[in-house]
Amino acid sequence: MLTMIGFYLLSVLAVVAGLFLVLSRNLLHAVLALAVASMAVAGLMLTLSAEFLAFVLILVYIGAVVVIGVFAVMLTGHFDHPKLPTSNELKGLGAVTSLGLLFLLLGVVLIQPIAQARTVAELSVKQIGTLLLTKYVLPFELVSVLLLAALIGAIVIARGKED
Amino acid sequence: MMITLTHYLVIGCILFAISMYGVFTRRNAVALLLAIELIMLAVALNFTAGTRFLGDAGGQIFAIFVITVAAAEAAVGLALVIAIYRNQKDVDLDRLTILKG
Repeated sequence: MLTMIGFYLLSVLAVVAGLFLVLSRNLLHAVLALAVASMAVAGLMLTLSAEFLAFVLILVYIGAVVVIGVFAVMLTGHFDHPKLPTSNELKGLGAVTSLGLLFLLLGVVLIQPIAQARTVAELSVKQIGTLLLTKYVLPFELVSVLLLAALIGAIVIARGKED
Repeated sequence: MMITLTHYLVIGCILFAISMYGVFTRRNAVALLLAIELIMLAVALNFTAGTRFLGDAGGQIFAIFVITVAAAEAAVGLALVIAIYRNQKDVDLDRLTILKG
């Protein structure tokens, strides 16, 4: 029962924060909405008893992505000029397309329910660590290389050419 | 009534559609990148729900990979935005047409 109340509260919070992120005029508010949405999704992961993933999500999204977003908003400036339109001319078309996408996805999810396993699975941190270094070791190493390349690339791109 | 996999998939779909609207309509490059981050969030939630209800550990592992890729994408994307702003003094996507042939 408590899980259900938590699920619905967190879902509403995530959707409202998502809408705010997409529609808000002030970009700084949009970044903060991303932080709220990440918190809500981390809470939803807690209701799925995926504690490790929830805390990783908070660490990475609120600790890194939101902070980078705030810096980008600050560095690029002019983010809440009242005369400046926030969206382009494709507003109606974008709304229709994303609503169509939503109904398509919901149709797929709702019409053909996926057969569920008898028992719900819970993964401990120990199991996740073991899996990452045994069965999924190749993607794990690849994603580490990707992260390294992305960090070096970000530094090189953002530094400019004053050397 | 129990909370099932379908509940989580529906929330994931709604978040995905909202962020697609942001990707379609935002004019500011930073706002567009934030919407893409929201897409990754929805995908990670769906993967996690898959592990819980389908009993396959791969879901959570790949959710970790999705979060990693989201972090890498945020770093590179925002570095690009800053580089573009330094050159063009503008991050409005409708006015960034210098690559147009």
